[in-house]
Amino acid sequence: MNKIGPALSNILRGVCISSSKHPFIWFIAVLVLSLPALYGITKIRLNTDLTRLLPDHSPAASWARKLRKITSEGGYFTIIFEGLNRENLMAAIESTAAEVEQLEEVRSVDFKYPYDFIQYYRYLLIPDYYLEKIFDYVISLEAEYSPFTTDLLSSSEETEAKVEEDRQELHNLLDYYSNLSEYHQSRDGRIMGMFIRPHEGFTNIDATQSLYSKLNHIAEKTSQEYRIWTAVGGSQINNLREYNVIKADLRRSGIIALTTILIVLLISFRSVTALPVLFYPLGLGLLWAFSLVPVVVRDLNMITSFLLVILFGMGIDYSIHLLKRFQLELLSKPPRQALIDTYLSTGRSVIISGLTTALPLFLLTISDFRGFSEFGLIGGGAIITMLLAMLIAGPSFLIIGERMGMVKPKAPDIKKKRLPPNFFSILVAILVFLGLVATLTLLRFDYDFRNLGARVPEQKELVKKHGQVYSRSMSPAAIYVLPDLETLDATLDVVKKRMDQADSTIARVASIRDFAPDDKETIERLEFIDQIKEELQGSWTRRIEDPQILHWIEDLKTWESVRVQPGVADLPQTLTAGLMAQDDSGRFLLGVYPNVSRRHGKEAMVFTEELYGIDIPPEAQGPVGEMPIFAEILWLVTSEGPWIVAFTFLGVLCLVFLGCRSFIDTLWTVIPLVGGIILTLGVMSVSGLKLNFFNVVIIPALMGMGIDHGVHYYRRWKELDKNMAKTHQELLGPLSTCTATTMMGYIGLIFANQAGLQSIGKIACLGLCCIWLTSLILMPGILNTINRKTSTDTAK
Amino acid sequence: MKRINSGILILLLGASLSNSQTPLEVIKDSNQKILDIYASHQDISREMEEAIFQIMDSVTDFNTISLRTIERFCRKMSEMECRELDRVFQELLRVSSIKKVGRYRAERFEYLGEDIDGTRALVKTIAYYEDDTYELDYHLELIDNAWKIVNYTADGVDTIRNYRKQFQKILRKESPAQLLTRLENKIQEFRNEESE
Repeated sequence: MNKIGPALSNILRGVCISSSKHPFIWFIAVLVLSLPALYGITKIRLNTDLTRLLPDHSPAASWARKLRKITSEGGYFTIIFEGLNRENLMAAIESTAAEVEQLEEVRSVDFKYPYDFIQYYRYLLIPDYYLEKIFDYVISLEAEYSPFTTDLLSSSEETEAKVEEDRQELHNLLDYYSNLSEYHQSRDGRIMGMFIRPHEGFTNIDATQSLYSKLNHIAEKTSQEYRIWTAVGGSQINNLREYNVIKADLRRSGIIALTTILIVLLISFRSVTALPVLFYPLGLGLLWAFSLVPVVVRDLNMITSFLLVILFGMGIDYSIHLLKRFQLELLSKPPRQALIDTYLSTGRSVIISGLTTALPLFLLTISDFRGFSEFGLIGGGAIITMLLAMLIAGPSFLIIGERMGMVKPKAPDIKKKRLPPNFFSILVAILVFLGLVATLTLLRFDYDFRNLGARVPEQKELVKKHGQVYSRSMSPAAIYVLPDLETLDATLDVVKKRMDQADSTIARVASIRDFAPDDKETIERLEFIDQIKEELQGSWTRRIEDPQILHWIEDLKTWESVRVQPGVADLPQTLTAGLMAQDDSGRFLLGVYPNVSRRHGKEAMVFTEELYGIDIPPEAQGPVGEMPIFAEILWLVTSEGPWIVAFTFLGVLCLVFLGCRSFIDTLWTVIPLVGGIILTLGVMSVSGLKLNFFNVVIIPALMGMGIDHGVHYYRRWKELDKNMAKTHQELLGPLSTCTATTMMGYIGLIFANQAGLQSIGKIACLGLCCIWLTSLILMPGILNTINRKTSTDTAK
Repeated sequence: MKRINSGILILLLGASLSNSQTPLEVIKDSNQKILDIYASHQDISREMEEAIFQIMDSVTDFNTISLRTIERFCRKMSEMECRELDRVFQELLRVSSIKKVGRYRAERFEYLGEDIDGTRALVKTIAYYEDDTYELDYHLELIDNAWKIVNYTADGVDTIRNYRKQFQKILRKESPAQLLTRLENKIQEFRNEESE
């Protein structure tokens, strides 16, 4: 450490002397060397794919990468048409289909069902678990309509909404089979649908965005031409809209951060011309750092996407400190000496402060969760490049600024700042204690992914009309890929056995066997159909008033069962399109649907654990899908999160200890940080703000940002011979400005529509406020108490 | 001793009186009493429900209905679980009979005859209410010298068979304790209706 000190001073002095001699050469050289970085930064992409957050060895991520092309990630588009004139509607759908089929991004377009095939086999095409559900429903109806029985099947612990959803799904299914139509349409035929499968999944965002624009254009054209209502929907839309929301959030947060920082700087410097001097080294540092992103981590993920804005807020501090000091030095010294003195004093402090912030961030790189590790790598790396830019580009630009009149000598505004009364310190101490109690009793982790997504304005009209044509859950939560029919049957067998267990979270499976059952299942289906028909023979059915239910009861009662099932080869292509590999390899897909919420993390973990526990044949590949990805993210975050926080804290402790070489001094130094973090968690607990997989990363980041306050305050207090008033007078302004500018970087996130990122903004701002409070209100009280106690002991 | 003898005499007399009624008469008698109650009450009230229940309870063997529904499931349960299921299910039968039968009020009954086979009998009826009709079959058994209803078939729905199917379905995926919870919830729902 002692050797590093003089070495660093020599480097700083050398750069400052050379920069002051040849400022323009340094300026141009730095700019020229930065040109490749400009190219690198154009290559940065935002990747909102959640698999991006998982490590390479994660089963969910590796299957997703391997099977993406085969499963097309289950994504699809739909176009919904509504009109009163049936002929006009059909003409519109035919002409739209012809146009959509021509698009190179489109794999298949369907708007008709294989009517003759379905008409012939009808109820035999309903899988056994659905038939069982229909049978249960009939028993429920019997119980409901008989004066001596009570329906027990519907009154489970499930929510009414879930029971209603299941019942609606059953009604839709029965409606479909009892009112067969050739077209994808609503019951009254006024709304029709078109199902579009793209070649590329959502991972290829450009192709998806391009296809969406083309479909929108075609749909709008059809709407005008045929004077009907049209809209583009489907699973890909939700992904695209979330992506676009994040991009809009990025823009908005950036503008808010930049504006607020500009305002703070204008107030602080009262000069517009000083702004380029402040922004130049900072901008260069960020440019260098982010130009390396495509090379080092390929692209930005959901969590690192906002780092640019955050780092801007953090990095501007370094420029502020250097410029203020340079202006002060210029009052009494020539520019070269002022520059050297600035860099030897404030420059060194900035470097040390930057390193203490960067180290905890670098510690995050040990995490398997890329949301953490890449946040740490990019964040820590960017701080280092910003420091480098301050060191390499800063001195020459300060000199140029001085020569061009952009930087003028200026003394700092020194206003008398009063020490906070002890009462305030006691109050903050009480708050910290209450915060600890609240944290231990109330702090929760939010497992619900629904609370973390983008708040995309819902297209209610489209959703409603879409639901009248297509069932609500068309994409399975997990998919297996099977090489042949034998493996499909063997996998189906083990999955269905698991599904029959009482604690299973699997609701149903979908495969080509739904339409081409084997002999065993055909017998089971026929038995169920006979049982249902038998139950429906009772005169109780007369009491049903709902014409829809009456219709399917009548249809089912009178249907003459076909006794032979269709074979796989007999199936029409439109039925098999979503159940076969999308790469034309002839492999089979097996989709698994959960009976629990898809986006609730805890339930996703149980579902995935269940799937991972099934002993599937070795030839089967998967499962791949959104729920295994959610589950693995949560397993990683919840298992690594506490360790990462502990390691970061240990790292910070070690760094402080290396700096002061005293265990006691280290403890006093970290008090504001620990108190601030406890207070933050306490306020979060009381206000209902939960930790989640997005915002956990902020806790170690806060440690890096917050430790500076304690280090500066304690060190300066000792340097000033434990003069509390003087220490406070000197540090209140700079530490408050630092907190404010860092907060400005995060404040834009509070206005994000993406709830996860919004929570990062809220917790970071809250944390910075709490650490400011414990550093500048609690810390003086504690140090005063120590001082008084020491003085009393000495006097005794 | 004299007192005990006279007690036995009264019991025997009561039993022979009860036995003297045919299954059809038992049903007719109880249905008439229920119709009388309907005639004397404009709206469904708690008092009316209670009165109907008293009549139904006197001619229905809830114990047998429960036993025949649950006996096959009891084989896989502990004795305590089975006893508890029997108790709660009988309670549901009683509570639901008050609430549901009260809702299905009839104006008159047509008796299609009785079919007696030893200690078992079937009484077929049609209940009329405004323009609507119900096919209501009473399954009776001679228990302790009296004809008691041991099952109902309403519009083709056999009460014991329906409950058996529901229990079978529930117990395939749930534990006896969960079945009990469902039954208790249902009883509570009926009671809440009462308080409303």
